[in-house]
Amino acid sequence: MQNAIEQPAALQTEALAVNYGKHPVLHGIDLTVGPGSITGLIGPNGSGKSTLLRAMAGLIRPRGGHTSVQGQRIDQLSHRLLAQTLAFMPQHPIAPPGVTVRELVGYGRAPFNAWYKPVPIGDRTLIESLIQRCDLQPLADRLVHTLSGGERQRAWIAMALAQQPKVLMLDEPVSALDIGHQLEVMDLLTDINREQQTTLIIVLHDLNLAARYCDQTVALLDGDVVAAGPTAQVLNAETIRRCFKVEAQFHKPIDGCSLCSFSRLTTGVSDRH
Amino acid sequence: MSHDPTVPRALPEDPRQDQLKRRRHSSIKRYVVALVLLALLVLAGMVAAIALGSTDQPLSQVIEALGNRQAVDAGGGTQADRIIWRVRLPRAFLSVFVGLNLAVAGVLLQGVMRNPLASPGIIGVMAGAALFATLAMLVLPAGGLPGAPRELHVPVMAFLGAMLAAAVVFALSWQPGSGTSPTRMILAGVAVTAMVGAVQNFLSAYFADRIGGVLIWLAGSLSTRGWSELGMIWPFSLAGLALAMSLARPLNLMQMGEDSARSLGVHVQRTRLLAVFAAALLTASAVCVAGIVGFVGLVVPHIVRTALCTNHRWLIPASALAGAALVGWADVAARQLGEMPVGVLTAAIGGPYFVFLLYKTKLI
Repeated sequence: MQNAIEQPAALQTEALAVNYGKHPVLHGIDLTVGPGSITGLIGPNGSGKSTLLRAMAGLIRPRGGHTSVQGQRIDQLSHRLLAQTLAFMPQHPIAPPGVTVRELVGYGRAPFNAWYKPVPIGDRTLIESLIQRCDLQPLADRLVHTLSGGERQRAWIAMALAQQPKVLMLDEPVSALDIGHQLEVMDLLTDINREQQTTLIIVLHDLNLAARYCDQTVALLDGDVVAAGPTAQVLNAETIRRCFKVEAQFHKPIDGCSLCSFSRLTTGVSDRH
Repeated sequence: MSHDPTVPRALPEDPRQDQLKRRRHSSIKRYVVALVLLALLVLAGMVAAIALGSTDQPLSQVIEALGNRQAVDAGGGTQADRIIWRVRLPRAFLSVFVGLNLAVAGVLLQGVMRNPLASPGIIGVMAGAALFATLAMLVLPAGGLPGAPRELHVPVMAFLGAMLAAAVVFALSWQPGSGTSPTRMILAGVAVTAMVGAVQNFLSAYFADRIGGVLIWLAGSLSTRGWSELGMIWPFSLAGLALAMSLARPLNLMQMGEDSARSLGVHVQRTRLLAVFAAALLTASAVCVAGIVGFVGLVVPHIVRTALCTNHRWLIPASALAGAALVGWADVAARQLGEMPVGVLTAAIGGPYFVFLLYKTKLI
């Protein structure tokens, strides 16, 4: 994404490199994410998608390079200030015992309020409006560990939105859901992106979802960026072949997005060992 | 943070708002009632501890003795006055603080380790205290510690041993770059406890002829403790409780795992360090005056969690009071049973209850 973007970047990484022990997982990633955009991170298992997302969220310390949010380096921000600009939803959120959906959404206000002060009335109305926004009204008093998969994702999205983040990162938010709930959650995210100009960075496994929902896509392989740019340019047969070792067949567009199906490569092409 | 105009800040008159407020208040009311009841239970235990003892004193004499402090301080007073002022009163307070400390330490460690089996023993403090107390009783020369009166050798050494063990466990579990993790801390605690236990067993074998007193101390007892021991525990109780309360919210958030807590602004490593430090302080001061009182730190938090709530803001004070009540009443019972070590009673009550909890709820 070297093409000039007029507005300041919502998020930028410079030569971001991460090791697990001595094993390098990311080798110097340069990324620029425009404000208010939806960016998909794709790549095969082990390509470093989740690691990149966690490093950009400040959850792992990089070996080299750094991440900036709205021009501010995240390693120079306090934990609280970072949580006021950036929200992160893990791949497998852990349901805390004995916590209701309303309380969970309220956790999103933690970075803003001192623990010894009562919850401001403005926060309570914000929490209620987010519960409505994410269709959680009938579930608001349920314990979070009793929710189904799709309900749980919506509850966690509501909590992340309570942080009123500029950038929201989600690690495979729909991978464990059926197709109906996948679209429901992705539509919710898209609506929020449009309404509040929240920049979204989403790790996705389903390339059709990336094609349908993401403004730009970053394809990773073995800790390097293979291709990055507008989704339509990145998701081509060659990139898909290189990343996933599959042959993609593109079909006629359905409501504006092309649909592809895949078959395994059988002959000769393997640039990995 | 400026507010995003697309999110409505104030809802239009919502009838559910009222309902919402009422529901919030009803659960808070329930917690407050529980705290008051527990506080009354603690007070009743203290009254019983003053009124009942291994010697029979008529109630009228007990009440009369409570007014005779000056006489006792001046070295006079009747036998009843001296028993009340020198034995029963300090002991009533001591048992309450011991229970409070162990229960709060248990809440902190279970919360920070996200492990239901965590207890004050898990960070090596119990073993460290036991070893240093044993050293004080068996090995320390008669000249003893500089600056400490002879009767305080054992508690001071136990305190030092407990804090030292906790520091070693924390240091062993620390990895440069990533800090500590619950698993590493638990494993380091097991390792340190085993090593310290080996030295302990060696001492027991080597000094087999003099080990009797040590064994009684290890079983946990509040007999023959007085005001000077009370001075060694209550400042730590208050400091530890205050520190624990300030960690209530980060502990709540940490129940969602490290990544979620961090992305909500929690300084995870600092919370771990402070929680372990507070737990070590609380446990060390309890163990140094009372010896090893088992099961309070493990069981009390579970009882409160199942019976009341999992929110640390209420869980911590409720556990403090429940622990105080348990040890307070256990000590009353211990004296009625001919000065049985209080640790025997807390384990005898706590053990079966824990088995019942395991059976009834799916803790793990």
